Amino acid sequence: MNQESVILALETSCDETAAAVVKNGREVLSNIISSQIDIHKKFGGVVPEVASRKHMENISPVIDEALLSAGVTLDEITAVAVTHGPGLVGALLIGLSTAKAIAYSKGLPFIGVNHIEGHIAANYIQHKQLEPTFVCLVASGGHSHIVHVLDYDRYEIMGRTRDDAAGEAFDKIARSLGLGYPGGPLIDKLSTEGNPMAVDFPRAYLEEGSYDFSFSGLKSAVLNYLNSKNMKNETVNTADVAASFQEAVVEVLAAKLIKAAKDKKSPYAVLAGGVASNSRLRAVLMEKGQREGIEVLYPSPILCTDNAAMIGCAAYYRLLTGKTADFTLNAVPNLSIGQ
Amino acid sequence: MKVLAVDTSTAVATAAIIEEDKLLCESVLNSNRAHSQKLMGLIDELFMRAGLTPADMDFFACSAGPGSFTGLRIGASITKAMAQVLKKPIAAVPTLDALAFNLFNCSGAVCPILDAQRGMVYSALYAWEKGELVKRQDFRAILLKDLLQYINDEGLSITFLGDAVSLHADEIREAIPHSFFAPPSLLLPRASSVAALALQLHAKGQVESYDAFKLTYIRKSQAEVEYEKKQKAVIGEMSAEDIDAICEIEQLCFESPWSRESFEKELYDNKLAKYVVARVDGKVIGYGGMWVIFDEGHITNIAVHPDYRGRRIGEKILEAMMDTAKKNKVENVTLEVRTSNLAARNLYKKFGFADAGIRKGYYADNGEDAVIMWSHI
Repeated sequence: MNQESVILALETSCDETAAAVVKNGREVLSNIISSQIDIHKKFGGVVPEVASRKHMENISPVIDEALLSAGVTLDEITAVAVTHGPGLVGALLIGLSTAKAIAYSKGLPFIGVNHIEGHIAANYIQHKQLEPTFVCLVASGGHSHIVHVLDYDRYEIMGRTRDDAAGEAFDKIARSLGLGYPGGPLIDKLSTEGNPMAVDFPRAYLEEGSYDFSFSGLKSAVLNYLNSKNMKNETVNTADVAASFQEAVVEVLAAKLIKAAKDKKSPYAVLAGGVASNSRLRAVLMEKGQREGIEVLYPSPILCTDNAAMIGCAAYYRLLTGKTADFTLNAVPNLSIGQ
Repeated sequence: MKVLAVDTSTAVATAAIIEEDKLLCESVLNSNRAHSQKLMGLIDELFMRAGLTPADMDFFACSAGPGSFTGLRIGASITKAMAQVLKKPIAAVPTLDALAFNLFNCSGAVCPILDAQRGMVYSALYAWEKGELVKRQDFRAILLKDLLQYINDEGLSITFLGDAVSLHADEIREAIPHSFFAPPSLLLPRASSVAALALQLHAKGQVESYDAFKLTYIRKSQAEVEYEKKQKAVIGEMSAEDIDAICEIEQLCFESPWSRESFEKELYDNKLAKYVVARVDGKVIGYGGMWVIFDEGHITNIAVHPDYRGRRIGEKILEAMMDTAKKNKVENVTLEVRTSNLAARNLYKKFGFADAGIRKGYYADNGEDAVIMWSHI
């Protein structure tokens, strides 16, 4: 590719309406995110129909702003990319249909991107030296995977959650502690005031050598603890419970990621997805990584959250290998990595 | 003048290109939705067959609802994006208008019905008068059995069309044996009808930019409905920032609504006027007004947003107004109400109002009588 690549990317898989302009894969010219968090807070979680309606209103101004703040016009765009799964199907369809129509009207190549692969690609933007192969933990409200990234478009899934996603567990526990939504940042913040050793919640390592996760047992343990305190009319120290719960999640995530990195002889242990913003997870990993001689990498918070810059980056590498899509591309709510 | 029109409000994906009076090309595809996979290709094919490109269009038209939420959004996303890229306006054509247009110059009433699930339909009533489509009843989501009952009560000669016809054919035939169903060629949305109405809107300057385009859902999401049910109505005094919401409710509730200026005058100039508003989750959803003239209270208006009826909010408003009357040393309160508005008349009776006379032909819109009611405090 001699000509410069300037990709317009869209992302509407959940509750953020996002558009970005990405140059030559790793240079972010703009990264606009319109969050709906405040709208969904009162429902205690994302309501798909409400999210879809909001995407519909937000998408055009977000695109305009992405172009404006990148200082480019649509005539300078060389390809259009969009998340087509996994995610909420109704929400995905807004970005997908919009991206198709832009690509079609301008006669541009059109690229469908897997949202989880996008999260992994966020690290290419942050760390210009990073190239496959490496081991990555993708953890967010909807996903928990340990992935061996073999190439820009080849992935081996080493482990995945068997029940709740890590971020989902954070959301549910936050709710039962009366903290609100989204749970991750709230628990992270409250935990700094609590004692992580206060309550000994179970750690689910599963079978020897497994890289899978399970958070439902931990979730039940926290709920049982809260209920039994409640029955006995004892006050609960929410900061201690939050910190102890977080510690149980973080310990397992960190141990499995480092073990996977050692197993695959990866020089890097890479974090991606919303849970990668968790300060305790980062701290524990840094410490473990240092001990094992593995460099721990993660994106800046804006690239951890759902954003379109990561989609533009992933799309660039798909385009390099000629993986464009045609206009029959559909939204796939449970799209898996490498599909 | 060339326009590309799209309708994906039902399981049918349809698109058409019209140049003034000439239908250049139309596509109608009725095969298990999958609009997301099919619509863009269908539009591409239309342009190829017509020997045109999207850039040749003067504007775009989109069926703007009501209908299937997801379906509508696929068509609207594509139309909006094309308009945004090519810097052309959009005409938002009401889905039910376009559907009724399929039956051009049909005699009797035309009733489009679209499936709204749970026994309900999105519907409106139309009639053709001298080649003009006239809307007799506005868009609403209504239980099919209530709609059929209404049509029977009115004794309308009627033709049905829309996707709910095939779903409920037996029920409709049983309720209204003399009704007609549109033939398959006209039964479901046609983009050529959307385009024809779009040209009319364009001629009247009623087009908008891509970022102003909005779909009409009529219905809220289930989560919002349930959330709002849990919220209590809170009564308060009216202030300047409530006037927008009040005007909106006034428009929704009354055939000859008060103007914005009238409400501003009431608030700023009229020392006699006392207003209360009902808020749910901070949003004004109802109001009531009264003039206090010495020891008499004249209730001028009470209105509750249609989405919030059946939750005793009118009762709360009236209760608050009777309190206001008491505080202002009012001894008797009076109001007028449409003879046909039995729900309101019963509510007033609960608050001690009794019929005191009739004003013949008081309501200008249909010449209906008003019942005068008085209550002694």
